[in-house]
Amino acid sequence: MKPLSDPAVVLAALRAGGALSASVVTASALEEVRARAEASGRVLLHYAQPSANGNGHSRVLTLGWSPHATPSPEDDNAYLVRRLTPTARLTWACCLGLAWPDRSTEPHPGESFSASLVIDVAAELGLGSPWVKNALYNDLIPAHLVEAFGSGLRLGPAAAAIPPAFVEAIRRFHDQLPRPDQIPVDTSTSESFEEDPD
Amino acid sequence: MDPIRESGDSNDKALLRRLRSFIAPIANDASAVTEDPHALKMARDLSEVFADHAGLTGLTKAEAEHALARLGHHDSALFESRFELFLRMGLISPFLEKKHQQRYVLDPSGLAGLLVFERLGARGGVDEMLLLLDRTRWMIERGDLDRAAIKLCLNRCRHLLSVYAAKLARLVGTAPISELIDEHRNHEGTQIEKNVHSLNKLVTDRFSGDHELGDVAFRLVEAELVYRQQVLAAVARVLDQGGVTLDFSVLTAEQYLTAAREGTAGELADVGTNVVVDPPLPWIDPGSLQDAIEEYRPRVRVSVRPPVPTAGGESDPIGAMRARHERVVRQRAHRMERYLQGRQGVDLTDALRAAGWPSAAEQLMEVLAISADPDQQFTVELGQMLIVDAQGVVTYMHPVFLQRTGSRAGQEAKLQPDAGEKAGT
Repeated sequence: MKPLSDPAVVLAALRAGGALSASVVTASALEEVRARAEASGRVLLHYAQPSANGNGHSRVLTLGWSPHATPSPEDDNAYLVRRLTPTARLTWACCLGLAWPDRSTEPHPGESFSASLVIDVAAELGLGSPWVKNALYNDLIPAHLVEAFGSGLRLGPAAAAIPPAFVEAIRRFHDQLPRPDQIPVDTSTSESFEEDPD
Repeated sequence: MDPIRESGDSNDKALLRRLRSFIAPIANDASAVTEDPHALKMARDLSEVFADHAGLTGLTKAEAEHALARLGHHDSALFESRFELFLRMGLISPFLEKKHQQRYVLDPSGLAGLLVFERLGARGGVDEMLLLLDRTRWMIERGDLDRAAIKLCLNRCRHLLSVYAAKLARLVGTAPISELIDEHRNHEGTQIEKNVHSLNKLVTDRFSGDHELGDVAFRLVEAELVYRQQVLAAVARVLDQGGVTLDFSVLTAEQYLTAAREGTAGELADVGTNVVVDPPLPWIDPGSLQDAIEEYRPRVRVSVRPPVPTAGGESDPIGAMRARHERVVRQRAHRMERYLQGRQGVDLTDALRAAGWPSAAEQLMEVLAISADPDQQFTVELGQMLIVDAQGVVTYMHPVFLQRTGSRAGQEAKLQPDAGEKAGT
């Protein structure tokens, strides 16, 4: 595949697909994309993603928010944003809980998980299987929060772009994220995380 | 919703947010400043109503409420609570300091306070900094200040400049561009530069041999320099980022309206050339995620057992039937006693014939029923003779004789509903 050298095309691909392999973008285009993203309040993020065949990692690009431009619609309600339904949010919480067992680590890329496990965890909360499937395949995957990985699922590029402040906030109620009973929450890391470094 | 009213409410909300830090030094607790923009609007309109009133003796409470209703305030509960509060805090005071005064006047300090609040809300306190610089210079020129007071005023000016510079630096680094634009609109770098330099010149001229005052004035100039750099940095970020990103919040709504009216068709057509619209991806903040985890309850239809009837709530149907029967029997016995009028027997033939139809049949059935009851001491005998009356209401019947079989006292004791109970007790 011919490397992409037009920054506008790279940005359009990032917007449309949520992520793009860094190997298909030229170095000069990458710099220009970074500058243009920063000028519009976005940041170009890189993350290493395990390849589907298990041989090493690939470098992937996605767009995040710069700290001063991160929207905060929940604070001022100045503009309308699309919000997920409660069932989709709960399904997303299940996915996050399965992919992020250790709260001392970063949630992305996390661990892969299966759709059936998500359905089982959600069922324990009383969420029916059709609702979970609908949320997974019609809300979370199109929003790039979750993506298909082999025969299973993993967190998508939108999860990699969650602002650090949001990650820290979710880390505070990490133990409440739904998980199957057999996966114990690592309390030792929880305690060490809360310890005052001083 | 009315966009103008909505915009006014949001402006008032921003004003109230800003006033909290203003009021903080003299606040009793964190709720010292209301969060309801309607309360602020009512205070503003109430002051206007009092100020507009031509008379010198003030307004009654009813007159004030009526005038406010004309301005669109129809919430009488809010009016009552705010009026009482304004009265307690002195924004409104009785015309005479005596009990039961019906007329009230507005305190000018309250009206001035409203003006201060509005200026503070609109300008973020930058006017106060300009005012302090102006007043310091003016008082030095007039010779109203001694050396210590001059030093104090110069230091206060420097503190204000340093605090505003730090605030601007923080906003330049972290704030959304719309917030930076709002803040930048309040600042007048050129005017402040001019005032600070003239003040510095005045101090160095007047107190040429006083190195300490000269040093304080020089530090004021330094603080102004840092402040001006931050003002310029704010402008640079607004121009750089606002221009490149086509951030629509860079200009005010009025400026867009002017552009739409005065711009050429070509210029207006170019506005959207470089606009990129992202698909509306869902927004998930940590709060909504936690709410979903904590609040989700599955919609399960569970059959609920009907509530157990309370013991005294419903009467016993068998008991009720029995009581009803006893009441009917008692009424029949009373009726027989009325027929007998204390005698041992009576001929009911004429009475039944006179009763008409179907009353005659009903009464006859009553008499026969009580005769058949072994507990009752009445008996009925029907005569053999057949009385036929083709013209009468009762066309034919046999003579009916009612007789008492027991003593009258015993019968009367039976007629008492609680006779048995009394005997038992």
